[in-house]
Amino acid sequence: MSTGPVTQLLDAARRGEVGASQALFSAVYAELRTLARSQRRRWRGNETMNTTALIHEAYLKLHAQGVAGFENHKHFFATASKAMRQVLVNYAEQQAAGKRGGNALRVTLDEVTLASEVSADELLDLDRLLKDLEAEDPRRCQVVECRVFGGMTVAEVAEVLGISEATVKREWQVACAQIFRRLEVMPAPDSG
Amino acid sequence: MDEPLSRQAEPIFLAASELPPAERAAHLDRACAGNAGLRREVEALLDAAERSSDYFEKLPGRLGVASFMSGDAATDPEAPLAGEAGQQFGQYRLTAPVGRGGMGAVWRAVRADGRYETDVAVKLLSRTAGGAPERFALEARYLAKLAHPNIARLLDAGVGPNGQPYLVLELVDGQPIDRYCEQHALGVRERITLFLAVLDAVAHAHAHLIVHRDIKPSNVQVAADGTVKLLDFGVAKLLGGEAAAPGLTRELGTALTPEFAAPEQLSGDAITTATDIYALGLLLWLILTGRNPREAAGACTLAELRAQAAREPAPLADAVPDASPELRRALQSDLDNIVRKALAVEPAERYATAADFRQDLQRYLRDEPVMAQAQTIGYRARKFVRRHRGGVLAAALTTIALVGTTAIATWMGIEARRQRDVAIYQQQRVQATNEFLNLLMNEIGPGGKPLTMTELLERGVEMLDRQYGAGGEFLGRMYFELANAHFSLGDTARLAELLGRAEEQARAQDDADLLAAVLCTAARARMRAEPEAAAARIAAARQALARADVVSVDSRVSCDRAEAQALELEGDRPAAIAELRATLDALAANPAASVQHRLYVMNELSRLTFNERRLVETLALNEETLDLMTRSGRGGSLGYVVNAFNGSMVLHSLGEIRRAHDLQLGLLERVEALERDGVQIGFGGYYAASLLRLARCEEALPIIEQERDMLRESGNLFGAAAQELTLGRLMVCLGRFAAAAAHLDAVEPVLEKAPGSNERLLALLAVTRAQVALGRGEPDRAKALVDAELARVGYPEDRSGPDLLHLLRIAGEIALVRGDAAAAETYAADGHAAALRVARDPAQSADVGQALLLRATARKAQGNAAGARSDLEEAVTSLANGLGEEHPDTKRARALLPAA
Repeated sequence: MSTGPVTQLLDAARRGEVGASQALFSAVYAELRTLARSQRRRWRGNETMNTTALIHEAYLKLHAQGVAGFENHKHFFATASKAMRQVLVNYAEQQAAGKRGGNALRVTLDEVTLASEVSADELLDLDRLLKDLEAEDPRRCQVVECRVFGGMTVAEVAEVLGISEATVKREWQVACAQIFRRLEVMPAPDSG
Repeated sequence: MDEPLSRQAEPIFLAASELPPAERAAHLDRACAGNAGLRREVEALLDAAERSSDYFEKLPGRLGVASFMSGDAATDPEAPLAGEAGQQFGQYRLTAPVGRGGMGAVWRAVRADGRYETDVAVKLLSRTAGGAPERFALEARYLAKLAHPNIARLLDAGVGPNGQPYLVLELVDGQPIDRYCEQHALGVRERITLFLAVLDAVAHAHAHLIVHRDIKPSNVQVAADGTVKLLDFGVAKLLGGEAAAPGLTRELGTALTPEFAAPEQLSGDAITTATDIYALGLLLWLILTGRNPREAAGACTLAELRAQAAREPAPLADAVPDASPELRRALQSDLDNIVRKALAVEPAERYATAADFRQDLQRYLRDEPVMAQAQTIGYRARKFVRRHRGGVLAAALTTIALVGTTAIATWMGIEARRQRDVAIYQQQRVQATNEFLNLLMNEIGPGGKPLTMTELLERGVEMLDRQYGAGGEFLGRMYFELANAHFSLGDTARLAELLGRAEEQARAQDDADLLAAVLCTAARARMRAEPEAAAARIAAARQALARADVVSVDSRVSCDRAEAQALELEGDRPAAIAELRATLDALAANPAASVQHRLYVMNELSRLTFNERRLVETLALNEETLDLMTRSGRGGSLGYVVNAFNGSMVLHSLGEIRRAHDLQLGLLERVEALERDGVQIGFGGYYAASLLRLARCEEALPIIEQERDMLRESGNLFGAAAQELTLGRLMVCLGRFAAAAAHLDAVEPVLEKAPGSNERLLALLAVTRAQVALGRGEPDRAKALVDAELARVGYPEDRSGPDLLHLLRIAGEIALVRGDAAAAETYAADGHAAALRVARDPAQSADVGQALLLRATARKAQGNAAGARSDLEEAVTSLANGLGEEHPDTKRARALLPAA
C-alpha cells in the first residue's frame, strides 16, 4: 500500500463517497493481515499475538503513510475495529475448516495464533448475528464492533462515531440483549 | 404497516431497564397495553440484558482485545474490579481496593495470620487484560532483582484462587510526586532534592538492566514522611539477555502513557535506558513548572503527539508566565539546560544514565557548571575549539574542507566512462562526508563524554573500514581526506600511517592521480624534516601525473602547494607566490574546481604574502577569501571567523590598529552571540594585542591571563609563553616594571628551548627588556639591549625585518631619554620610512603616526620647530585614524601642535 491511496480513501470515506468505506476497510484489513503474517515470521515460535498491538501497529504504519487529522484518526479506529473482527473471523473460519478437515496444522500456516479464549464456533456465531444486525441497523453494529473488537469504552465509541454517549449506551444495551438472546437460541453449530 | 415487534420493544425495554426491577412490571403493563407478544419480547430482552452484561464486558478481554484508543483497558472505570474484600492470597487478606494500576486492581491487604501489622499492597491481574500474565510474571521477576529504598519492595508473589496471579508489594501510603510538591509548596531546591531520590531508584533499576518504561507522577509516590517510592514495573523491560516472551515488547503500544512517552516509544523505535531518561525529564519539568509540556499543545492524535515529541520543548521559564522572580531565575538557569538535555529528541543526546542526570542536578545544587549546555552549533564549536586550541586555525579549515564536500573534479577533459565513475564516487563521497560531518557536529559522544579530535578521526576511519570494506574504490580517497584532517592537527605519526594506507590503495587500484595527490601531501608533511625525500616525492608525483589519464583538481592543487613550499624553503618566496598565483588563476578558469580548492590555495597565498610583508596583497586576498566564503554559504562558519580574524591581524600589521580592533570586536560579538560566556575560540590573544596597542591595558589583562591559562592547560607551552610575554609588555604599559621583569624571566627559558622557531618572540623579549630597563631608570642598560638587538637584525644595512619599526621606535625613545636627540631623529626617520613601506595609506597608520610623533619630539628638542610642526600635523591625522582620539599619543601630538 502506498502513501497516496490510504489518505485518499480516508478522505473519500469521510466525505461519504460510495464504496470508499468498503475500500478503506479492505486496505486496513490487508494491512492487518500482512502485519499478522510478518509478526508470525518474525517470531517463528508459537507465541500468541496481542490483537491490540496488531491494530496499533497497523495504525502506526498507515499513519506513517499520511493518515492525518483527527477525523481520519477516528475513522481509522472505527474501520480498524471492523477489520479486526474480520481478521478474527477469518482465523476462526480457518480453524473450523481445519478441525473439520482433521488437519490442524494447515490452519496456522497463514495466520497467527491469536490470544483468544473465544472458540472458533462462538466467534463465528457472533459474526453471523452481527451480520444480521448490520443489515438491520448498521450503526448499532458499529457500536458493537467498536466495543467488542476495538475494546473501546463507551466514551471512546461516542467520540469515534460522533454520537452522544447516551446513544452509545442505549445502542449497546439493546444490541447486547438482542445478540445474547439470539446466541442462546441458536442451534448448536454443525459438528459433523 | 406496523413496525416489527423487536423495534417496538426497544424503547419499552430501554425505559424499563432504567427502572428498579420492582417497578418494571407496572411499567410493562402500561407500555405494552395488552400486547402479549410485545411484552414477551421486552421481557426476553430484559432477561437477556441481565445475563449478557457480564458476557459482553468480558468479551474483548477474551478476544485478546484491549482498547487501542486509551491504551489501557484496566483503567476503564467500567471494567470489573478483580478481587473482593476478604479474599485471601497467600498469607494476605484483601481489605479495601486502593486503585486500578497498569494491568489490574491494587488492594490494601493485611497478613491473614496477624503476624505483622503493616499493611501491604496486593496487585491482582485484571481478567480482562488479555495476554498479560507473562507480563505480570516478568514484573515479579524484575522486582525480585531490585532492592532499593526508593523502589516499592516485592514481598511475595503467587497464584491465588481461580488461578488469579498476584503480587504482594510494599504499600505506599502516599501521593503522586507532583501533587506532593504542590501541597507542601516546596521550593525549587526541595523539589530537586526529592527528584534526586527518583533518579536514585531509576539508576538502581538501570544498573540491573531494567528499564521502567512507564515513569509518570502516579508511579512516583511520596509517602507522608517524604520518602519517594517508584512503583509499577508492570511494563518494564529487561535490556539484553532473557529473550523470554519476545511478543511482550509488541504490547508496548497498549502500555505507554502518551503524556510521558519518549519520541522513540511513539515511533516504535528501540527502547533503552534513554527512554526512562526522557520520561524523567518530563517528570522534572512537571515538578518544576506544575505542568506537563505536552499538555499545553493539547495533542489529540498520535500523529500530533509524535510531532510534538519530535520538537524541542519550550524554555522552562515560558511554562510559568506568572512565576515569581526567584522561580524565574531558577528556571532560566542551568536547570533549563539539564531538563533540555534529558528531553533531547535523539536518545543518544540525553544523559546516558540516571546517575549522570543525578550528578548534573547535584552540580546545579552546588552551583557548579553542569554537563548539559545549550546544544547549539556555537556551543559545539566552542567546545571543539577549546579542546584543540593549538590547531584551531588549521582545524577550522579542515572543517570547511569537510563541509565543502569537494567534488573530485577533473583538471582536463575526460571520457564518458570515467565521468560515470566519478559521478558514483562523488555521490558516495558526499554521503560518507556527510556522515563524517555528522560525527563532527555530534562530537559529544555517547555517554555525554566529549570526543577528542583524534577519536573523532579514528571514528571516521572505522566508519570507512566498515562501510566500504577492504576493496572499496573510494577507500583510498577517503583515507587521503582523513590524512588531510590529521595534517591540520599536526599528528604526524597517524598522518604517515593514513597516507601509507591511501598510497597502498592508490597503487592497488592503479590510481595514478590519487597516488600523485598522496605523494605531494606526504611531501608537504615532511618538507622541513626531510627536504630531499620531499623533493623526490614531488618528482615521483609529477611522473605519476604525467601517466594519469585524468588529473584531478585535488592532485594538481596538492602538488602545486608542495612545489610552492619547496620554493619557499629554498628561500624563494616570491617564486612560491608566483606558482600559487598561477594555480589560483587556473582554478578560477576551471569550472570543475571547488570553492574549497580555491580556499586552500588562497589561504596558502595569504600566508606567503604576509610573511613576505606584502600586506596590501594579503589584505586583498583576505577580502577575496571572505567574499568567496560568504558567497559559497560559509559565512556563518567557524572558518569564516578565523579568516576574518586573520584579516584583522593584517590590518594590525598595516598599522590600522583601531580598524583592526573594531573588526575584532564585531567578530567577538558574533562569536559570543553563538555562545554563552565571553571571549572564546582563542581569539582573545589577537584582541588583547590590539587593546595593548590602543593603551587600554587594564582591559587586556584578564583576557591575556585567560588565554595563557587555556593554552597552558592544553599543553601548548610556546603559545602560553607568547601570552606570558604579552603580559610582560602589558605590565610595561601599566608602568609596573618589576612585575614585567618577573613575566619576562618566566618566559625566557621556555623560548630558549627552541630559539629557531621562537626568533621573533625572543626579539620581542629583548625589546621589552629594554623598555623595562628604561622604565626602571636604567637608560644605558636599555640602550645596550636595543643596540644588541639592532645589530642582530642587521640594522642599518638590512631594514627588511618585520619588527624593525617597533625596535626603532623604542631605540628612539631611549635615545631621547638619554639626551641624544639627533640619534632619536635618525631612528625615527628610519622607522617612518619602514612604516611607510608597510602601510597601505600613511594617513591611516598608527606606525607612521608614532614614528612622526617621535621625530617631531626629536626635532623640537634640536630646535627644529618647523620640521616638528609639519611632522606633528601629519602625525595627528595618522594617530587619530590609527589609534583613535583617546589614545595618549594622539592627545600628546594634539597638545604639542599649537606650541610647535
